[in-house]
Amino acid sequence: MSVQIVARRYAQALLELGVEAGTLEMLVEQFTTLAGAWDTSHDLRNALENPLVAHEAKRAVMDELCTQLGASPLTRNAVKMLIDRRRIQVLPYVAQYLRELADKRRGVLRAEVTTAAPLSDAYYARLQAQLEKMTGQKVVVDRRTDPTLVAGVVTRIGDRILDGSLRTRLTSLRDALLPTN
Amino acid sequence: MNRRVARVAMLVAMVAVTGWSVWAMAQGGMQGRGPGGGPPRREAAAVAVPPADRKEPGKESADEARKEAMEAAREAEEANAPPDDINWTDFGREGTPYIALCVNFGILIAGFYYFGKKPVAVALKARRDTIAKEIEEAQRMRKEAEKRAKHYQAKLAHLEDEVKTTREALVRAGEAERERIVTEAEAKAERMHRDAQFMVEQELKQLRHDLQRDTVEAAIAAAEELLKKRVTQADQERLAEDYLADLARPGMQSMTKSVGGTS
Repeated sequence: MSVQIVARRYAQALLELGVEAGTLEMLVEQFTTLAGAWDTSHDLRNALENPLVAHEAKRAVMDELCTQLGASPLTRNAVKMLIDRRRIQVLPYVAQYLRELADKRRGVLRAEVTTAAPLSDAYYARLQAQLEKMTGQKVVVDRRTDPTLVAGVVTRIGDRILDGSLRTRLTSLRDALLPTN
Repeated sequence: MNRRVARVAMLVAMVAVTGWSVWAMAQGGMQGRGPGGGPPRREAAAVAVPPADRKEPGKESADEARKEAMEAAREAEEANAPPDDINWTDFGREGTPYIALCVNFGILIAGFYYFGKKPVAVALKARRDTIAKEIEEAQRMRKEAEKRAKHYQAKLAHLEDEVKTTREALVRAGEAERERIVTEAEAKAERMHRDAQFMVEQELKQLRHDLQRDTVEAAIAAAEELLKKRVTQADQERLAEDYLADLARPGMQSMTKSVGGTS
């Protein structure tokens, strides 16, 4: 079965549990944090995916991580269930789908704004207002920084990308200068 | 078919009977029996012995000697007697009358004629046809041989002309072949020249393209490096403001694209 399909099912179940418990926001935040730890820590991925590591050890590692994050029992149990069912590799996808489902439930669009250098909060507020004006929906902005953009801003909102980076302009210039054949 | 077989069998039987009769007559002749039958003659030399020479010292009585002499004289007389008359028709006498032999011979000839007429005629006809065919074949072969002989004689007569004609034809064919080879070689050279030109042009085009691409890549890379070094926070903020202003403009398709494709 596809990883995305499995992750979507887990995310849907977690959404319903979070709504039922009234802790959906916290659940989304904790899963997003855990997914970030998964993405950034090679040691964590190796420990949880390696078949040579004992099952109990994996549970202990994840338990310790949840304790340090102050995760709720629902989050803790959900992550342990992923380990028990040997599905821990879908954790980032579960976090992503859970956040998308939660945003959809709240009627919120999430915009991922990437800049080459950090900008002021006032700029992000104006950008959020502009995006809400464009889409007609409430927009939540996720800030990211990517120096390879050289300069400018790239916004990803839904399936659209609004690219105002200098890197993209240089690429366009190169394509225009290069002969077609 | 059956009649023919019976006829041939009869003919064979008659030939056998005739052979047997000839053999029997030959046997009769060897025994000294003359034509028409009659007792065999005794040779005069064998019986004409003088009585004095035949007397032997052991003989006692003169009577016996006289009897023997008389017997010998009688036999000698019989031996010297003229031959009997030919028996033509008398069936009572010893031996077969000649008339019976003639009738027998006539029947035999008639049988030969009756039974042998057709096969002999057929055989003769077949033989005649075969000979005629062989003669015709021989004539035909002779005519062909004569015709060939005439043909070869004519060829021999025109041999010089023919050799000359053949030599000229060979020379013409050689010249035509030479022209064809030269023409093909020229066409091939032209084609190779054209291909080489095309390849050179393509190589030049590719080189020009590669050079242009490398130049552009180098220029863009240099520009990027320069921008990375020269861009300040103020430039970042100014570009961000420009970006915001672009979003506020009604037409902002130039910087919008869908994920997984352009728009």
